[in-house]
Amino acid sequence: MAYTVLLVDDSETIREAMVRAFAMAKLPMDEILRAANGAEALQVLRERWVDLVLTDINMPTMGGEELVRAMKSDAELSDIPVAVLSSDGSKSRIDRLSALGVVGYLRKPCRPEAIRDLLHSVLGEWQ
Amino acid sequence: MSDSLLTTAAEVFPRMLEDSAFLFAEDPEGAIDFRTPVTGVAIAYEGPEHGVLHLWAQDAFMRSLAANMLGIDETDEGALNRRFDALGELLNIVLGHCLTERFGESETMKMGLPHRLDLAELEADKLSGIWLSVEGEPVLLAWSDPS
Repeated sequence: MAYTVLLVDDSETIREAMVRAFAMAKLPMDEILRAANGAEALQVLRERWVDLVLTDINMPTMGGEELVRAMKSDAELSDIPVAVLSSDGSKSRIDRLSALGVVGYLRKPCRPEAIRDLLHSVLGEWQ
Repeated sequence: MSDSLLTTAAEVFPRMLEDSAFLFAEDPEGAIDFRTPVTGVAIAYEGPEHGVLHLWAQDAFMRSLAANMLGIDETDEGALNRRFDALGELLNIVLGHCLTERFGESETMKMGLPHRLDLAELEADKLSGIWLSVEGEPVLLAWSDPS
């Protein structure tokens, strides 16, 4: 069993750094798909099946919160788990995102162990 | 001027730099040699107070930053191409943590997106910001009130 994750962040540096962190976490990854904002993420999700979406909040065009709202109102996407990756540590925002259905939160900068723990908690441990 | 936010930023910056890129900041020794080209990034924030946090640096620091964040060599083209993006993302991380430490987790803050500044926008008053040295390269943290 291997995971396919969609990383959504407007920073190319963060997207590439996270790919490296996933490798360091020694997770059984099938593929890490990438998108630069929520609108791009929705396009990817309409074409590809993913186990988890890991999204930034503050992005141009369509932010992370709008992406979560769009996914939860779409019957084909509403069951895909979404976790947030952000430098924002505001509890009220995290609570609001949790109420929308976000299942996990990683604060930037994050260590490979935190990524591994998040995937274990959301998707379960692999055999 | 939000001295307290800038002071918090100067405390947060070394930790975030180490955690993001395994680079180490210290107080500069001797005169600051801030040679051109110099690039800045800025992010606006709103909440109990509003303002703009700036981070100014030279190419050598930005390339080291991008290289370390990406796990590549400084001479790699990827470090050159992503140096501005890396600087903006570092400021984003610093400001996010700074706002939480300054105002607490229960306060809702709104942060803008990083935008790039050119040397012409480095006004004299920002030079009174806080200087740090990273591997011998000067870095300037500054604050401004957009209103």
